Amino acid sequence: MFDNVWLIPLFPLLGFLINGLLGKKIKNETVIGGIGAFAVLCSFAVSCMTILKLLSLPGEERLANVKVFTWMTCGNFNADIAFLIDPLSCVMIMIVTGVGFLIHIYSIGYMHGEEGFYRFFAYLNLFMFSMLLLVLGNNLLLMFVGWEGVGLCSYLLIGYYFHKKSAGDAGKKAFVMNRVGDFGFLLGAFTLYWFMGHNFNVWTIQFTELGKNAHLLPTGGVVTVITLCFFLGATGKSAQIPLYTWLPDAMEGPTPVSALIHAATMVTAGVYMIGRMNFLFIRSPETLMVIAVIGACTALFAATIGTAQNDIKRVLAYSTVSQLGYMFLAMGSGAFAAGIFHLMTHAFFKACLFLGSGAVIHSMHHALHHVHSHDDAQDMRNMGGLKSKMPLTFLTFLLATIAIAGIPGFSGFFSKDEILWQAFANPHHGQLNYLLWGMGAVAAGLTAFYMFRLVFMTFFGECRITPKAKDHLHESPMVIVIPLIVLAGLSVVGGYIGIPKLLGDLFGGIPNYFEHYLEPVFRLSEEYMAEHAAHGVAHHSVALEWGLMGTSVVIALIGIGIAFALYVVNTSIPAKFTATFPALHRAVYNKWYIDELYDYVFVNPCKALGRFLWKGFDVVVVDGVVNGVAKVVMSFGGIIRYMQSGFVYDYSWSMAFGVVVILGYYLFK
Amino acid sequence: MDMITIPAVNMTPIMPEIFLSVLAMALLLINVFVPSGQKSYIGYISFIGVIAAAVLVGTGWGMHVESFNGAVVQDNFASFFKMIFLLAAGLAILISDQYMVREECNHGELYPLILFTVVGMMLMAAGTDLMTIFLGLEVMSVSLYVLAGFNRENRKSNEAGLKYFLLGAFSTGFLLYGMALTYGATGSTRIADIATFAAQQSLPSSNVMLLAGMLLMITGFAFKVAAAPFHMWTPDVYEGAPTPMTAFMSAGPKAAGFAAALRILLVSFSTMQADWSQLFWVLAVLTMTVGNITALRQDNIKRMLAYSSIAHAGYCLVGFTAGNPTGTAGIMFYMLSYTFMNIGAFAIIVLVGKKGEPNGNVMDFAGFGFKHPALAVAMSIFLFSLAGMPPTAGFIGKFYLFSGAIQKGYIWLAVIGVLNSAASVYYYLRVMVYMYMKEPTEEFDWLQVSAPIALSLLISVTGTLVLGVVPSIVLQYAQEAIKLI
Amino acid sequence: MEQIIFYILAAVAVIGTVLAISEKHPVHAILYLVTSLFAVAVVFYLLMAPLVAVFEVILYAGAIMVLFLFVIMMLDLGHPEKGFSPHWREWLPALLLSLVSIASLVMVIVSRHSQLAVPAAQSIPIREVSRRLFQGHGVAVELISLQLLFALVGALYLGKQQASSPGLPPSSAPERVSGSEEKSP
Repeated sequence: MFDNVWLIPLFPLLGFLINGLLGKKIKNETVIGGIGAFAVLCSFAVSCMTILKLLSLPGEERLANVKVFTWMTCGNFNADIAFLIDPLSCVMIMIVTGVGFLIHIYSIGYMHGEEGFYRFFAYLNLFMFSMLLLVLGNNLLLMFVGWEGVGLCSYLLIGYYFHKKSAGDAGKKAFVMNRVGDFGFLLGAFTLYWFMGHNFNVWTIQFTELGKNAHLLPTGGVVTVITLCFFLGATGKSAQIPLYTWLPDAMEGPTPVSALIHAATMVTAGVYMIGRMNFLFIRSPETLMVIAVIGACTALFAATIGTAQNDIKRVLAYSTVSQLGYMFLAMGSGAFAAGIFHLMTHAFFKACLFLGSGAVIHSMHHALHHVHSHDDAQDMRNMGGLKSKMPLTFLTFLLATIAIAGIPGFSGFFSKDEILWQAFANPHHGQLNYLLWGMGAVAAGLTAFYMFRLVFMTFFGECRITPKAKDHLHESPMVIVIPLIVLAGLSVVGGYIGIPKLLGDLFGGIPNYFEHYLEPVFRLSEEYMAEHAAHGVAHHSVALEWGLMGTSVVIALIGIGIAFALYVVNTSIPAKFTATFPALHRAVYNKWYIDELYDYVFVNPCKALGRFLWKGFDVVVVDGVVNGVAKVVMSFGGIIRYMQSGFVYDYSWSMAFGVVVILGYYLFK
Repeated sequence: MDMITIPAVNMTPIMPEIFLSVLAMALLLINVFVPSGQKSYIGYISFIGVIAAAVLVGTGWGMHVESFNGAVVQDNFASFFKMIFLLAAGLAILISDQYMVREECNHGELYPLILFTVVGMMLMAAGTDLMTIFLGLEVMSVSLYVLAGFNRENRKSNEAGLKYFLLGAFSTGFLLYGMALTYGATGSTRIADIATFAAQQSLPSSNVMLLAGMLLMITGFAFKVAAAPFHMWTPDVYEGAPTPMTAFMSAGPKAAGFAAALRILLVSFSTMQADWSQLFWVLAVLTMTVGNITALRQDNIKRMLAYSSIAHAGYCLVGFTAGNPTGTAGIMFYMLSYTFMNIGAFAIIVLVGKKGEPNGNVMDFAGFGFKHPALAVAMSIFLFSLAGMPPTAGFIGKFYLFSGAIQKGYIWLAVIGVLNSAASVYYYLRVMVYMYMKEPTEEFDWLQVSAPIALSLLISVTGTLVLGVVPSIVLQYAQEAIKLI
Repeated sequence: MEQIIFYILAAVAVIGTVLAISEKHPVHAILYLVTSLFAVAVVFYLLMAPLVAVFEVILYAGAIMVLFLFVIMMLDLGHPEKGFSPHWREWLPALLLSLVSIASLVMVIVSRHSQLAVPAAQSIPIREVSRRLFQGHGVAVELISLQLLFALVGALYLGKQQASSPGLPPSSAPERVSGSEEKSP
């Protein structure tokens, strides 16, 4: 049925091989970029065919394990290269290949003239391959291979400008934080495999098999440990508290990378993983609560930092962290479909925002370069008034901003509102729900504020660079603008496939297509949760739902209003505010000193430990062992002076010794 | 007076050996007429010959033919190992040319000697008689002594050849003594007859002569595969020998040693498995640990890979200790993987070396990743594979070796193996740290990649990755082969 | 009677070999070795293996030893008997191993566990030896010939002096070229 699904990851792999091996020789940027983009386009085409085939099946049959070949098999352990096709993986491959293709197109224009153009496209294709492996893999091991692969590409691309020290440092930071997360993932996977096998004789790492046998698992206890391990992995990959600080630093990479890897796809892998293993997570209410709380905290916390950043990409980075927090809030509330829905809409508008900011930076960079200015091309304080210079970029950026701010009618509204409602109404966390909802709503207001602050500072008001440089500002080429337009369009209409029931009823019973579509994946879990709900399914009135929806919209509008007042009407207020509350501003601006805290608590002790290991362990122990072995043997009756002396007769001593001991033991035992 | 009838013998099992011997002798004669600047052509002919021999081996797959009254056999086990030897020889021939020309040592005798080594190794794998195995080993060893000292203008190479010769002769003494005792105990040198004899004994390990014979044979093979404490020759010989020959020695003879030991122990001494498993447990732990710990402090990259080669022999001994189909098929798979990754790594070392100072240090790789990204990526793949990281062949190989041990209940052995494997990551990654994180001290402008080396690198990288991603295409053959001996 | 002759011959063989090793003058050493080989040849004869006995005399005692003698006399290396005797570290492994061999043989004989599976001694005619050799071990015979050929090739290759550098002076002091582990602090 889905026999050709293996083509989906294969095309980017071929693209990687061609560009990686021959790119240096090809030299022609159009050809290199064309190969890279075409490979992803082919994957996209196959993905479309796959999802159409899937939709043509009745809901119950929308599940297929496509085995390509056996990778490893040994006794009870069996790992296949096999792909899992179900509604969840299909929506993911559509996002990955679709958004990925647009970003590839964009990169052809954006990376024009960069050194190592072929390297960039080779890495990008390798990333696509790994990401597709991650979402399509039908077992834990294959998912982990993809998980590591995307991480590797992420470091390579963060450190793309490796001659810049900050880029190298950012790569290292991402590496270390992800290692912590990966350790959690592996620990969880091993424990799960062993626990299922040892106790229930279900030796499998395949998701469908695990899901079928999940009913054997107890609630809480070991499952809580396993799921928390997995969640630790997710916090590393998806930049949640406490492992989120690498993501803002990762903005050192080229902007298309930020859009593709650090906004639309890779960082959502944690969310996807929880969705994929929903059967496991629902069996631990404690873990769900932890996920919901961490998600809500991250959403709020990152949003506060976002309000005080001046680097355009950093604002978007904190916004990404915050939006990922929403997705985890949804997962933790048991609203898996809502989380995945937000993952999708976020991919659209955040990719659009990043690419738009890239277009702005690109233009600014050129303008500043022309007048030999060393001002920061990414600092919003240097921007302003770009509306008239880059009208198309402005328009697309504005649409995406409205979408992320949660204004009714745009995609972000539908997904965010669904999450907030589920956070409020879910039957799992009792009184905590009100707090979760409150944090989410406040974060929504802050999101609207800092996003519009960004728009106003960048596109409105007076241009703050020198007039001479201003003349060099211009709209980007079509190869950059077209992906922006497509993504902006998706940010607007993308939400209509998942209209909440409340609104759908209002407009003549339009069903929530998206939730319906994902139902085969999550239905069992939802039924289970409804049975085991800790606090009973509360029946909230329609009026309450309307009220909450209205409240969140009003909060968002207030956020926009404040931004408008501060950055358009009376631009002196922010400075006054900063002057009045210098400590608060400094704390927010410096990201609540979390990096410094981590440096103090983790990095410095680790460095000290490292120094100790180097000075102490390496020199004393390793050398000690090597020399010690020599010493022990030397002192062994003074027979052998040097083990590896270079003298043949010393070597024959060792052999003679071996023979004597072996024969002596066996013949006299 | 009746004539001694020479029985009609079936030559098919040793067709590849005959072909290679004839080719080697013909090349020796041709060599006389080839002017000294054009010895590379002998290498090219040898390479084609190796491919032809591989085709001959391949056509015999699946057949079981005994010949010479059961002195040699053609079975899948032998064919699998023959393929490994031919692969090692082919890759070694490909990387020899450029090196030998650079070191002004491109003498035509090299290639026939390599081919002849392969003949010896093939007979070790195909021999079902202790005599055949011993002579195969001697044929292999004598050629290897010369190959190790092939750069006769170089003192280190001379030293390597001589040391290898002296110690090799020493170890051969044990082996032969062991075979003699076994013959004395059983009255036959045929592996099958020894097995029959051992099976008739109620407690074969109480037969002191048989036991001593087996133990001495094990020590002889332990020398050939460089297992501790019979490993001491390895670093000196590997360091001194010409680099392509080091590559060849680390892959081919090691595999041949395992092939012969596997056949003898699994067939003849299967009833004494409890005894030899115990011995191999100790040897495996000792070999892995000694190899890895000593490799940690090596700066000379050839010495480092020599110690690493000792450690890899230790991993294979883990599979030997298990002695079950998973472990033994794991050895076969691992030797094939090791051939790809180790010869690949040595090919890079050949390239990085300069004339007159071909024995590179790890520091010589500083900044290599920036100057030659493609070669550095290839080297990284080999190092990853040697360290046993997925998705490379080395990972899969270790997975099967250790799985075999776990299935047999040797949990601690597997744990020690994994710990060793983790320790080894340190010194492999050290090379990568130099390649990617240090400022280049050299321009590497002397570095040229000749077509044969490029081909060998392509084969090695492909092999390392394909075996890591699709191991089943080879593993099923190994499992099939081990079942039938 | 046979037993007595055997023990005398065995003693001659062992003493001859020991003297061959300990004697510093190469010509004397070779003569001791010839003596030892002769003794072994007669032991073979006693074991009813006349063919091996004859081979032992013709090949080892005759051809090879005479060749050694010629080479030593032709090279005329001065007075090696005035050189230093090897250090105990150098010969002790060999002694140890021969002790191991003897010990294991003694074990085998003493432990009577194992009945020797080798058929009782009886004279084997040459015809039978040839039949065994060429029928049972045909491949081995061919292998040995090949091995000798390539040992010859190797020896010739290594022994051939490079045309460019005639008469390299032999390095006098035995130098440690490589090997010893660097013992960095």
